[in-house]
Amino acid sequence: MAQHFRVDHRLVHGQIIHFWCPSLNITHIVVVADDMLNAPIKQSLMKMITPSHLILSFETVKSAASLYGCPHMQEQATLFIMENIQAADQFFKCCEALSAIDYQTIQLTIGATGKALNSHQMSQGVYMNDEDETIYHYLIKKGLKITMQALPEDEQCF
Amino acid sequence: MIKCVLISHGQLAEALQSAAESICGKRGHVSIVAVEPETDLQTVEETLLKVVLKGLDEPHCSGCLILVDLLGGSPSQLTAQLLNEPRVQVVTGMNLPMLIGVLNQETTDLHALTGVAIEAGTKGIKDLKKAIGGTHGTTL
Repeated sequence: MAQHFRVDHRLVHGQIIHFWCPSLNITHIVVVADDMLNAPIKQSLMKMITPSHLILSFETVKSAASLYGCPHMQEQATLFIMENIQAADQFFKCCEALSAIDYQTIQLTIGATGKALNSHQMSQGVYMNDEDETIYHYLIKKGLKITMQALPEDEQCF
Repeated sequence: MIKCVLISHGQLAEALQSAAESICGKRGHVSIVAVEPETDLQTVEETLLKVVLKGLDEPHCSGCLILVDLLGGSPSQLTAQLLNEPRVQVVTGMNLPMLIGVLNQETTDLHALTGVAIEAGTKGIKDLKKAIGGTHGTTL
């Protein structure tokens, strides 16, 4: 089963549930966000819109990396969602430390990042500041394929 | 008075306010928060908090009712910060009948107004052919 990685500042929302999960045949969504562990109301809102046939987990960067390394995860089609590219980088680094990841064989899709102060547009809905962009180029250099795509039917931007 | 805040994807909230006010007249206690596709969510979250707190600080304000367009969308997630506040209620699935129902009430009871919003919002949804008891007359 395939593992998918996505950056989206909205985390679990309608586009994920109604378009990405069916399109990728996802069975398990893992929200990788340290601060979500202390946000029970936000968790409840996301659980409320997740259909019962999908598993939804909230993990820290570290615990998500351990989960990714578990053999049983290979039996599930999982979507790991991170809030921004910095969180994605931390997650991949933790996976790397566990020897659980090969950058050459995976792909990161950036769906949406908010237009914040000092950020510039990379593609439709995707904004990065200088630090984000440094990480973006670093990850590409490591061999990671990164695309920017809001919906499955949208064209992929590189 | 109960402060009413409409929050939606894009310009929907503003359009609904305009449509509702064209039916039941202008109301001063309604505010709009728009979540545009490319907006930084933290900024909108702060805006929503400011709008609600400003409303609650107004004289004679007994609470704030937030109407949200879509359960689970970003606008509804932004209300998470306010769900523990007893003077705030949040109703999702905002539509025109719901808004008209709310604007036509002069109650200062927040829970009663929440009930009005839900009832008006759902009552306006009908299978019209069934509701009128089947079709009558000629076809096109």
